[in-house]
Amino acid sequence: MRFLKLIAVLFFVTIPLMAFAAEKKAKTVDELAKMYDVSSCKQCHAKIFAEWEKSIHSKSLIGTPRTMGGVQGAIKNWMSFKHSGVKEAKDVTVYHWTTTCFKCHLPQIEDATDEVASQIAEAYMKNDKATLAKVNINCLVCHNKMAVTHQWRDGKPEKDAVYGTKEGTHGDKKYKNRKKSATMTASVMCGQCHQGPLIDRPVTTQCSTLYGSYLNAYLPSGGDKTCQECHMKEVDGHSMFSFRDRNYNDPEMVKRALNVEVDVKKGYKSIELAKLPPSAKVVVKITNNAGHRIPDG
Amino acid sequence: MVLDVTAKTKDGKEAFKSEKIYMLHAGDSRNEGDQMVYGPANKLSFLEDNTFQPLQTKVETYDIKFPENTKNLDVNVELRFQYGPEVGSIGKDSWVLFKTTKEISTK
Ligand code: HEC
Ligand code: HEC
Ligand code: HEC
Ligand code: HEC
Ligand code: HEC
Repeated sequence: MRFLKLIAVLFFVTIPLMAFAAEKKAKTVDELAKMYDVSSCKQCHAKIFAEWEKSIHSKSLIGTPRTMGGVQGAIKNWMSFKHSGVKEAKDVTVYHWTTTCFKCHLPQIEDATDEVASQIAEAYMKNDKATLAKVNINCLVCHNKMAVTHQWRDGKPEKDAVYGTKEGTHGDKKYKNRKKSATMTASVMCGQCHQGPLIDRPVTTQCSTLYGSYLNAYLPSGGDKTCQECHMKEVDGHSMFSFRDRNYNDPEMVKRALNVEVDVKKGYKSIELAKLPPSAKVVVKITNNAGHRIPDG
Repeated sequence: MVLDVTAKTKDGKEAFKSEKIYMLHAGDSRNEGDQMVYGPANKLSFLEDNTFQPLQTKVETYDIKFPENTKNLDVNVELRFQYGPEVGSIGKDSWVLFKTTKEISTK
C-alpha cells in the first residue's frame, strides 16, 4: 500500500515536471527563434533595433561569413574524431554545441532539443544561410539569458522580464517587467563570451581571447573603463562598434584605438666609410588606447 | 594589423620596402607540430603574440638607405586592419587606419 502510494505520488509529481520540461525545449529552429522572438522590441526601441540588426551579433552563426566556414571545419573535425559521437552532421547534439562554438555563438541552444542541434549542423553542411539566420545573439540573449552571472545567489533570469539598470514595469506584452542586474553594466557581461580559450572540457576551443587581455593587460596598466563605457556610452550608443563596421575616415575615431606618430630624421653620410650610402631614420610609434590588445576578439 | 613602410625616389623607383604583421599566432591543440592554425576548433595557446598591447606604445625604427645620386625620398607609412595575407579590396578585406607621406633628404 505504501509502495502504491509512493508510485502515485511519483506519478503526480513527475508528469507535470516532465510536461514542464518538454514545454520548455524548442523542437525546431523556428520554435527556438519564436522562444527568443524580438520582433515586438522594434516598435518602441527602433534605433537600438536598427543598430543591432547591423551588428555582427545579429549574424552570430554566419559572421562575415568566416564563422560559417569555421563551424563547418569544426563539424568536419568532429566527424573525423573517433570519440566524438559524430559520424554525420545529424549526430550533432546540444551537448556538442554547448561544449564548443555555441557556448558563445548561440547560448540559447540549451533551450532546444537535440533535433534542433542536428538541424543546425545539417544547415551548416548544406550552406543553408536562411536557416542559420533565424537564430542569433539578440536582445533577449543579452537582456535575459546572459543577464545574471551570480545565479546561485540571484536565481535564473525570470521569464517575463528584461534586465537592465532599473526596476519597474515594461510596455512589452510578454516581458512585462524590468529588472535590475549589476551584470548588465559590468565588463563581465561581455566577458562571458569574449573570453577564452576553453580548456575545461573534453574538446578545446580557442576563439575569442580578448577578456583575458582586458583583465591582465589593460587593468594592470591603469585602465579603468568598462567594455560598455567605450563600446556603448562614449560613441554610437548601443551599436558596439568594431573596425570592420566602419569606414575609418575620421582620424579621431582611429585615435581611440591606435595613435600613430611618424618621425623622420635627416639622412647622413659616414665620414670614414665614404662608400656607404647615406641613410635616414624613420620612426613609427603606435600606441594602443583600447581596453585590450588589437587585434583580438 | 599590417604596417607598410615604403620609400620611393621622385621618379617612382622603390628604394625601400617593409611589411610587418601584428597578430596572435596560434598553435595547434592536437600538437601536430609547430604549425600555425586559424580555426577555433584547432587553435590552442599562442606561438607568438606581437599585437598592440593596451596602453602601451610600440616603436618601430627603419634605417632607409639612399640609392646612388639620390638626395630625396618619399616615405609612405600605412597601417591597415587586414584579415589575410593579401590587401584585397579596401573596405571589405582590409581597412586603412592611417596613411601618411613624408619626405626625407640627405642634405
Ligand atoms: C510598448 C513599448 C515597448 C516594447 C514593445 C518594448 N519596450 Fe523595452 N522599454 C520600453 C520603455 C518605455 C522603456 C523605458 C525607457 C527608459 O526608461 O528610458 C524600456 C526599457 C527597456 C530596457 C532598459 C532597462 C533598463 O533598466 O535599463 C530594456 C533592456 C528593454 N526595454 C528591452 C526590451 C526588449 C528586449 C523588448 C522586446 C522583447 C522590448 N524592450 C520591448 C518600451 C518598450
Ligand atoms: C550583446 C549584448 C546586447 C544585445 C544583443 C542587446 N543589448 Fe541592449 N544593452 C546591453 C547592455 C550591456 C546594456 C547596458 C549598458 C549600460 O548601461 O552600461 C544595454 C542597454 C540597453 C538599453 C538601455 C540603455 C539605452 O541605450 O537606452 C535598452 C533600452 C536596450 N539595451 C535594448 C535592447 C534591445 C531592444 C536590443 C535588441 C534589438 C538589445 N538591447 C540588444 C547589451 C545588449
Ligand atoms: C552571448 C555571447 C556574447 C555576448 C554576451 C557579447 N558578445 Fe560580442 N560577439 C559575440 C560573438 C559570437 C561575436 C562574433 C559573431 C560572428 O562574427 O560570428 C561577437 C562580436 C562582437 C563585436 C565585433 C567584433 C569584430 O571583430 O568585429 C564586438 C565589437 C562585440 N562583439 C562587442 C561586445 C560587447 C561590448 C559586449 C558586451 C556589452 C558583447 N560583445 C557581448 C558574442 C557575444
Ligand atoms: C578604453 C576603451 C575600450 C575598452 C575598455 C574596451 N574596448 Fe573594445 N575596442 C575599443 C576600441 C577603440 C576598439 C577598436 C576600434 C574598432 O574596432 O573600431 C575596440 C575593439 C574591440 C573589438 C574588435 C576587435 C578587433 O580586433 O577587431 C571587440 C570584439 C571588442 N573591442 C570588445 C570589447 C570587450 C568585450 C571589452 C570589455 C572586456 C572591451 N572591448 C573593452 C575600445 C575599448
Ligand atoms: C568562448 C566563446 C566562444 C566560443 C566557444 C567560440 N567563439 Fe567564435 N567568436 C567568439 C567571439 C566573442 C567572437 C567575436 C570576436 C572576434 O571577431 O574575434 C567570435 C568570432 C568568431 C569568428 C570570426 C568571426 C567573423 O565573422 O569573422 C569565427 C570564424 C568563429 N568565431 C568561429 C567559431 C567556431 C568555429 C567555434 C567552435 C569551434 C567558436 N567560434 C567558438 C566567441 C566564441
